[in-house]
Amino acid sequence: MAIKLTRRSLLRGAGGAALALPALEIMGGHASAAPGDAPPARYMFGYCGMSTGAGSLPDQPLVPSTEGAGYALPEALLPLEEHGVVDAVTVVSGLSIPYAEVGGEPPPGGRIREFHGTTLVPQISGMRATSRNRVPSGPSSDQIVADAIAGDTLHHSLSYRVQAAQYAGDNSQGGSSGRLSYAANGDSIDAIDPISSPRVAHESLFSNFVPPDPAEAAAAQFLLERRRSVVDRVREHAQRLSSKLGVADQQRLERHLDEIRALEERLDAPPPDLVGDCALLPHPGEDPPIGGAHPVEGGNVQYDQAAGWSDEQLRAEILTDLAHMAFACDLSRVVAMRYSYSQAFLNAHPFSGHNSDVHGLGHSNNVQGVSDAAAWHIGHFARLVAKLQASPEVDGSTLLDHTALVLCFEGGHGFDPETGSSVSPHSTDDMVMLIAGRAGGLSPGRHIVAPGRHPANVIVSAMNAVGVDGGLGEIGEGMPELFE
Amino acid sequence: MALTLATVSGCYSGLDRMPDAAAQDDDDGASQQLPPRAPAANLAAISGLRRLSAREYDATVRDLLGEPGGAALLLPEDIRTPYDNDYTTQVASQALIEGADVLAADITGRLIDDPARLAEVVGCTPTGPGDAECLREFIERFGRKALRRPLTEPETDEYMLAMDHAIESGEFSTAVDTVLRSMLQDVEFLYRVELGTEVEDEPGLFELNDWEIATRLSYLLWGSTPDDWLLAKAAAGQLHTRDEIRATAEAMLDDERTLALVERFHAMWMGYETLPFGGALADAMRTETRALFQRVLFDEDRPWQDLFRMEQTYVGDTLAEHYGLPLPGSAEPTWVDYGESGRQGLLSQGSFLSVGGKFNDTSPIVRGLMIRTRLFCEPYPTPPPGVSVDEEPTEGVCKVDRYAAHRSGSCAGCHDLLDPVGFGLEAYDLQGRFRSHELDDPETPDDESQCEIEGQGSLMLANGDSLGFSGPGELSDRLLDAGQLNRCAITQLVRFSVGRFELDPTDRDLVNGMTEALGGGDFHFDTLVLDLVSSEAFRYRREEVQ
Repeated sequence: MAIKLTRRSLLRGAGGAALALPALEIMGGHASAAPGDAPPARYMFGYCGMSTGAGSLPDQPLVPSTEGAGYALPEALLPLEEHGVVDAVTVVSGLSIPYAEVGGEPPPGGRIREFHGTTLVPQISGMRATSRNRVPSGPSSDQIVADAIAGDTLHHSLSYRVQAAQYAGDNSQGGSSGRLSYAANGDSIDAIDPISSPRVAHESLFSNFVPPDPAEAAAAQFLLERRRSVVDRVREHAQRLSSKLGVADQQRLERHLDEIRALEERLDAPPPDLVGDCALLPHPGEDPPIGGAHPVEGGNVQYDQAAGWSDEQLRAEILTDLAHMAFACDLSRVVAMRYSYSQAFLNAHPFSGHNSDVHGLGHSNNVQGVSDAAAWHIGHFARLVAKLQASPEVDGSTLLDHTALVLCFEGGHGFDPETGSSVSPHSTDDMVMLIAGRAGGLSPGRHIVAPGRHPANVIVSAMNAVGVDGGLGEIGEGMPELFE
Repeated sequence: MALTLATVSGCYSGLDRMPDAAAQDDDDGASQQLPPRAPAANLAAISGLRRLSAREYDATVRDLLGEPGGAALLLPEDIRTPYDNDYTTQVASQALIEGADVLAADITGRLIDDPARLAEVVGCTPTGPGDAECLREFIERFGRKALRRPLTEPETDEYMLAMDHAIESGEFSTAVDTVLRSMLQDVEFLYRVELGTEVEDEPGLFELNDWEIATRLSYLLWGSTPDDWLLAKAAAGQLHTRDEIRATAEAMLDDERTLALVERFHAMWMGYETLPFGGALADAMRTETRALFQRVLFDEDRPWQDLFRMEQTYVGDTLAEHYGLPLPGSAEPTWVDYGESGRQGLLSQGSFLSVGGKFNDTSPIVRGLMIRTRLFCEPYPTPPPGVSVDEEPTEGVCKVDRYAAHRSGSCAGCHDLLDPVGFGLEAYDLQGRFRSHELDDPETPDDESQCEIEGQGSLMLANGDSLGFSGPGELSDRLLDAGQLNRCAITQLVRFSVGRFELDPTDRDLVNGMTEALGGGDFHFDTLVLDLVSSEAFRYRREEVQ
C-alpha cells in the first residue's frame, strides 16, 4: 500500500494521536509511473455556483436539442467546440435531486425543500442535505477517489477555488460556501479549505522544482535547503508541544502536523522528470487584489463593472494550468475545482458584458445571460479537457485517456418546491452535468437525456471509471450508458 | 419565501416554552450531576487550540514587524459563526500550511528589503554575517514576542542553527530570514496555545500562566499580540491576581485597537461586517457607525444602551440626504440631530439596515430573525425535516399580503415572532433609506410600487406581551424595554471571548452569573469586559473532553 495512504489511514484509525512516522524518513521516491507501467487514472470534480435557466422562462440554454453523438451544440456549450473537445465530453441532462415531501425526511441523496445551501451536499457526497449548512455527512467524491488512487503522489489531492471572495454579504449568513472537499476522519467529516490564491497554489505545486538556469538553480537550492530546515524546526516543535496537550487539541495539532509533514515530503522529494508535458510553469506573480462590492448611488445599488471581481479569468487560467501540470507531472491525481461560490455573486460583466453578477442573471429573465455565464464556466472546464487531450502519456496515449472529469451546477431549472413556482432556477429538476475523459472505458461525446437520474449517478460513473468501486454516499449506482 | 422556522420541539406557540429557558432547565439538571468543584473551577471555559484569524494574523504581524501581513489573500477564509475566531470551525489544511509558508516568506522578504525596519526589528547591529551574539539576542527578544512566551535555552539553540545560513550566504540577514520564517510558521505563533498548570484534585482544570493571560487579554481587547509592556507584566508575574488583570485590562482599553475591535465585534454580532454594497456611501456608513461607537463607548463613556438611543448621527450632506435628514451643510461628516425622523441609534444606520436582504429588497423574515437571534440570542434553527416549510403562499401584490400565509396554521408559531419585527422596519430599505411604498420587483408582473408601506411592527415578548412599534427608533426603545439585551450582550461577548458559538452549561452558568450581577439596567461596555476578564473563570481553562 502506498505510504501516503498508509499514513492517513493510520492517523484516522488512531483518532489522530501522535504517531511516529518512520516511513517518512526513508521517503524520497517519486510518483512518476515508470515506463511500462499503465498510466495512472486521474479524477477532476468541477463545480459551478449557478443554475442552468433564467427566471421564469422555460428555456434550457445548456440542453442540446438533439441526443446522442454529434448532438447540436447550444451556445452555452460552444466552448467545447472552440477547445476541440466536443468528442471528449458527454452532456447529461434531465437529472434531478429529489426533495423531501411536505412534512417528510429528504430521500436518500435528496434535500430539504429550500434551495440555497441544499444542492451542494447531494452532489459532492451523494448524501442527503438535511439543512442548509452545506456540510455533508459523508466524504466528498474527490477525497474518496484520492484515498484510493493517490498512490505516493506528493499531493493527496488538490482543492482549488477560482472565485476569490463571496463579494455580497459575509459568510455568517451563508455558511461555508467556499468549501468543496470533505474528508472522512474516523467518525467525523473534516472540511478541507480550498486554495484560492493562484500564487500559493503555484508555489505549493512547484516547490521542489529546480529552475534550468544554473545561477537560479543554486539560489533555489539554497532556499530549498533553508525551507527544509524551517519546516523541520516547525515540525519538531509541534511534535514536542503535542505531548503537552489534551486529547482534543492533540488531534487538532496532529491534523496540522499531517499537513506539515506533507509539505516536508514535497520539499524533500526530487523534482519530477520533465517528461511529456510536465514543465515548471512561470511564476504567476502577485495575486490579483480582491474586489469589493457594488457601490450605492441615489439610494440604489449601482452595478459597477469593477466590483465583485478579482480577475477570476486570470485566476481560472492559472489554476487550470496548475491542475493540468498536477496531472501531467503526476504530482496529484485528484483535483476539486470550485469555479464559483454557490449563489455566485461573481461579476459577469468582465466575461460576458452583462451588467449583472452571475446570481442576478439567473433571477432575471435573461436566458442569454445565463447561457453566457455557463459558457464561461464550461470554457475553463473545456480548456482543461483540451490540455489533457493534448498531453501525451508515456505509453503514447493521452492524459485524457486516463482521466474522468465532471462538472456540476448548483441547480437545474424547473419546479421549485420551496415557493411552488413551476419554472425557477431555484430547482433541482432538469439538471445538467458534463462528464469528460476516457478513463476506464468512458465513452464521451454524446448528449444523454437521463430523467430520474441523480447527478451523483454520473459522478459514480466517473469514480468507477478511475477505478473506485462502489457508489457515492447514498447513491449506489452509476450510469452504464456512459460507458457504452 | 415560505421560510418557516422551528425549534427542536417544533415551532413554539406558547411563549412559556422559550427555547433558551428550556435549554437552561436541561442544563441545570445536567450540571447538578457533575462532581463538586473548587469555586474557581466552576465557570472556567473549555479552551481549544485557536488559530489566529486572518485579521488577528495581520494585526499581529503589523504589531511585531511594523507592516501588516496580507493574510486575507493567502490564508483560507475564516468561517463566521458569526465571529471569525470560532476554533471549532478551523481545520488545518494544505491551504493553511502553504499559505502560511508563502506569507512568512513574503513578510520576511519585505522586511529584509527595508534596512531601517530590519535594523529596528533585529535590535542589535551585527558585526558581520557570523555575529552569534547579536543573532542570539534577536532570537531571544523577538522569539518572546512572536511566541508570546520566553524561549527555552534549547529552543534558542535550535534557532541559532540559522547562523550557518548567514555564514554560507555572507549575509547576517539570511539568518534573520530563516529565524523569522520559522517563527511565523510555528504552531505557537499560528495558534493560541494554552497549557497552564493542572489544578490539584481538579483533573482537566488548568490555571493559566501570566503569559497566557497576557495573550488572552491582548487578543480579546486588541485583536492582536501582547506588546512589550504587556509582556513585561507577564515576565514580572503581574498578571496573576484578579485585581492585577483588571487593572491591566483597564489600561489596555484606551487604545485605537480596542475601538476597532469593539466595533468589529458588534459588526460581526449584528451581521453588518461586510456591507452588501460598496462605494462612497458604504464608506460614509462605516464612518458613521465607527463614530457612534467612538462617541458613546469611548469619548463620552456612556452606557452601552446609548448605542441604541443616540439621537444624533455622524453624517455629511450626501449621507444625510440619503437618509432624508436635514443637511449639515458640509461634505465632511458632523453630528446631526435625528429629530422627528423616527430614527435613533445604531439600528437606524445604513450599516445595520443593510442586514436581512433577499433579492435586492428587505426580507421582513430575515430582519426579524436577525433581531431575535442576534439581539435576543433566541435560537431559531432552520426547519428540521418533518416540519412543513412550504405553506402555499397566498396570492397578493403587496408584501404584507404575500406574507400573510405565514401567520396562520403551523407557521404562525414562529412567524408571529419574526415577521412583525421585520414589518416594523419595512419603511427603511436595504440601504437605510426611508420609503413610503414598496420597491417594484422587476421579476414579477405586478407593480408593487403601488403598495403603501404601513411600517407598523410588534415585538412579542416571552411573557406574551406584544409591544407595538414603527421604525428603528421605536424598535430600539422596545428592545431596551424588553430586558433581554443584557443577557444577550453577555452571551455574545462570552462566545467571542472563548472562540466558540456553542456554549456549554458551564459557559451558560457564567453568562447567568454575569447577567445577574449586571442587572437589567444600563451598563458600561468597558465594565462588562473588565468584569469578564477579572472573573475567576478567565484565569482558568478546562480541557475539552471528547
